[in-house]
Formats: sequence, C-alpha cells, structure tokens
Amino acid sequence: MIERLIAVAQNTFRQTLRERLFLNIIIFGVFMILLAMVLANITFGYPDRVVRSIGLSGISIAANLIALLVGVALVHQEIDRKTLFVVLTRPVRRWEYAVGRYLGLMTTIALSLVGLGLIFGFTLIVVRGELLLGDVLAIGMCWFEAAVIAGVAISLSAFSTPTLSAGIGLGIWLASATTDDLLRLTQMAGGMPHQVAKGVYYLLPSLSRFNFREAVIYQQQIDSADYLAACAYGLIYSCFLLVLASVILSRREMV
Amino acid sequence: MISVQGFKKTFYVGFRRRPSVAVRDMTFEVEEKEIFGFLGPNGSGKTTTIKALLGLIKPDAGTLSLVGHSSSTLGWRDHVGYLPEHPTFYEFLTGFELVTWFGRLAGMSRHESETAAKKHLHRVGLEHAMNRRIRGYSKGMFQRTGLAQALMGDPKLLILDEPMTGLDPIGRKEIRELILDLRDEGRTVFYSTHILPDVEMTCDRVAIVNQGKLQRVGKLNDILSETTRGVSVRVSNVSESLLASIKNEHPDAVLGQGDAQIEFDDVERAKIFMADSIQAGARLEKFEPHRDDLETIFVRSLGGEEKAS
Repeated sequence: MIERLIAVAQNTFRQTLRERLFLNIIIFGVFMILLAMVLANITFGYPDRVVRSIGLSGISIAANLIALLVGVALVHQEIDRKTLFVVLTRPVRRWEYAVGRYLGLMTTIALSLVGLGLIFGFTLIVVRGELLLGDVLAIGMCWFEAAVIAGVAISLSAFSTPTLSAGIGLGIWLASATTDDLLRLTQMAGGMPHQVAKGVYYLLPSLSRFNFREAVIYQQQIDSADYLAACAYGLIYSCFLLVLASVILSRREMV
Repeated sequence: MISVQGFKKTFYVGFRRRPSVAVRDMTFEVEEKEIFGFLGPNGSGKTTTIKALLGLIKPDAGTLSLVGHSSSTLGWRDHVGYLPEHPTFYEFLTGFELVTWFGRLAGMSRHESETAAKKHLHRVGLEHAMNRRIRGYSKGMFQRTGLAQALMGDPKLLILDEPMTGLDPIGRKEIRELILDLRDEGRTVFYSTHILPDVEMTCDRVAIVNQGKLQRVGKLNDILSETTRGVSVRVSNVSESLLASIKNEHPDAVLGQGDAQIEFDDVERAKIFMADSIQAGARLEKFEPHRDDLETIFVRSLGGEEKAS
C-alpha cells in the first residue's frame, strides 16, 4: 500500500510541477513579494511590516490558488484522459489513488512555500528587517490552510468538471476565510441571518484559524498551543475531506 | 477466464436523466489460452462491457468475473493487463518511466519494474524510443507503450480495447503477431475491434454484439463454416484413367493437361473426392470452401443483410 501511495504521489508531484497554471501562480507569488519590497521602499516607517503584510498574504493566496486550481483537475483530468482506468485495473484502491494524488499536490505546495519563503526572507533582509520564527510559522500555517483547500478541491474533482469545481471551490474558500467575520457581523442583527451564518460557520472549514499573519506583522506573542491547535484542526479537517473524496471516487462510475 | 452472465447496463443521460440502455442481457464466456474477438460497431456496448468487467462501472444486473474473481473485487488485478481505447498517458514521462511506473503500481519493486519495462518495451519494438518523452510519440508508439504497460506484472489475461485502431498496416501486423505470441505463451487475449481482417487472422472465438445485445458467439471457424455453400477442388498429377472417371462423374469439371477442377455443392462429397484422388496418386492443389467472409456475416448479424449483398 505504501509503495503504491508513494508511486502515485511521486507522479502527481512531477505532474503538478509541470503545470503551466502552477508556474503562473508561483510567478504571482513572487510578484507579490517583490511588490511588497517596492512598496516598503516608498512607504514611510515600518518597511518590514509592509513586506510581511503583502508578502505573507501573497504567499498564502499563492498556496491556496495552487491547492484549488491545480487540485480541481487532479482526478477529473485523469478520468477524462482515461489514465485512471488503467491505474484502477492495477491493485490500486480508489482511496489510495485519491490520497496519493493529494499527497503529491501537498508536496508541490510544500516545495512552493519553501521557495516563496526563501524569497520572502531575502526581501525582509533587503528592507533591513529580519526573518523571525513567527514568519516561518506563519508560512507553515499556509501549508495547513492549503491542505484544507486541497482537500475541498480533490473532493470536488472526484465528481465535477474542473471549471465547475474551481467556481464552487473559490466560493468555499472565500466563505471559509470570512466565516468568523460573518458570524460576528450577524451577531448584532441576530435572528435568521445569524442562524444562517452560524450554519455556514459550522459547515465550512474556518480558515481564519490558520491566519497568524496579523500577529506576526505586529510581532505579538503567540502561544505554541494555538499553533498546535491550528495544525491539528488542519490535519483532522483534511482527513475528513480525504475520506469524503475517497467515498465519492469509490462510488463514481468511470464513464 | 472471463465470465459474463446476464449483464445489463443503463446510463441516464442529459438534464432530464433519460435512460439509455447500453447493454441488455449479455452472456458469454472466454476460455483460457484463447484469443477472443469482441466485435461490434461503435456504440454497440463493447467498451461498456469491458468497463464493467474491469470494475470501472457497476452492472445493473448480472455477474461478471475475471480469472475466477468477481469484477468488483481486487483479486483479479494481479493477473490482468488492460489497454483502453485511445489511451492518454503522462506526456512528461518517457516511455520507460511510464511503463516502470505502472510496474510499481502492480506491486513490483523499482528494480524489478525497470527490468520488466525494458523487456516489454523491447518486445513491442520501442527500445529505440523508450528514453524519449511520450509527448513526441506517434499514435503507433503510443499504442505500443500502452501494450507494454499492459504486459507489466506478467498478466494471465490481457483485455485490449481496440488495440489496432489508428495503426498503419505494418503496426497492425506487428500487434497481430504480438497477440498470437501472447496466446502461444499461454495467455488469454480478449480484444474488442471492428477491424475484421485482423479478427480472421488472429481470433479463436468471437462474439458479435450490436445495440447492447449479443448476436453471435462461437468459434470463428464454426461461424464461417455455417455459411459454406460449396467447395472448389483442384487436383493435379491426375492419371488418364482418373481424368476419364472425373469426366464421367462430373460433366461440369474443368479438365486440363493432367489436372482437373470441380465444383461441389456438398462438402462431404468434396472430401470423398479429395481422398479418392489422393489415393489414386493425384496431388491436391486447392480445397476452397465457398463461404461468406466475416464481414458479410458481421453485417448480416447487425441486421444489414441487404447492404452485405
């Protein structure tokens, strides 16, 4: 089983690295960091805050875009090209395939974060800041956030076309990133809007749990338990989404 | 080796989920170590049946099994190689990397997989291009790569969906020879096609399907023999006395210098004549049954008898 998972993951890793979409998103991430450097140089005071604010956001958006846009094609494309038909006639279970694809994508995202993180660190040094542990942890949290988005993308990809999946996934991403704010906003209004916001809050993943960027920008102290809780939340939620993707794929007819 | 019993499948298409019957009550078996041709026009249910056999779709009714295991289980997967119709593989890999990868999925170690990949790529005639990226492969090279991956894991049964489609005559000949070699090695080959000359040259048994229904199944020779309308026999080295006897018994015979050609309506009579002539010292030059070719039988089975004639 492990050998097959590794084989699928390795292949997915190689495949995603060659996706033009992936390269474009990486260029976007690099552009955001470089933009942060330029803006830091023309902004009065706290250039490191500007770099952190724009740079970390850029890295987070890039990681989530890779997870979503590359992830939504991972399974559907294979069905479309019939490659999956051949794979599934080998002793590969459908859940092994889904998990292998997911692991391959997450490896690509990890590599991207390392690359973007290095550029980010270099940029901080250029604006006379320094790379702190909080920066590294904030970038690490981007991986867990992307892990959840990738889980959503793989689940959607198991039954829907990439275009539709990307649309739905984008909606889920935006809603998931704002559920906390939505809940707070509707609390004042109360009634039905608040109940709906509550439903969305519990139904969708809460991506704000992974967002330590503001605390890092203002160099606030973060409890290590908060990091660990966010990691555990990300892993549990990703596992749940992977089970969902596996169930969908197991029931799907390969027409 | 393969058993399909009462298989039925309906797909639901469009927004209103209209039912479209793909296969209705399909029953046939494939024996060990034979080449079985699965014939039918486009949309006749061949690929649907193959997909159900491979557990890629679920049957609405019926049971399907391969190598003694139900299609829905994993038990058969170590023993079956599959080539889909119009396959698309990872174009960023080389042929060698792709075939090695499928070997690893089949449970082989990296070393075993690489050794087997080289062997099978050599066998399908791709050794010269195995380190080139698949992106640059021709249609024929693509198909050969697909065949090489199907051979990984030393399968007892090969299921090939339209393996000759898109190949040039030389490529088709090579694949035909490979299929015959695989049978001679003791493997079973089940392949779907609508290229009938290939079937006549390779298959032991065939099934003809149309509109999701099995029309005919049986030994290719038996199916062809059923339509035999007569036999043409030509003998040479015929003695004067035998020539005189032939002239006497078969007034329509075409006689030459020491040879004779006779048309028989009855195959048994032709066989007796052939045996008697050989006993009398003549040499058999031709024994040609007049029968429909597979194409005519195929078209007739599909209900297009007028077209055939």
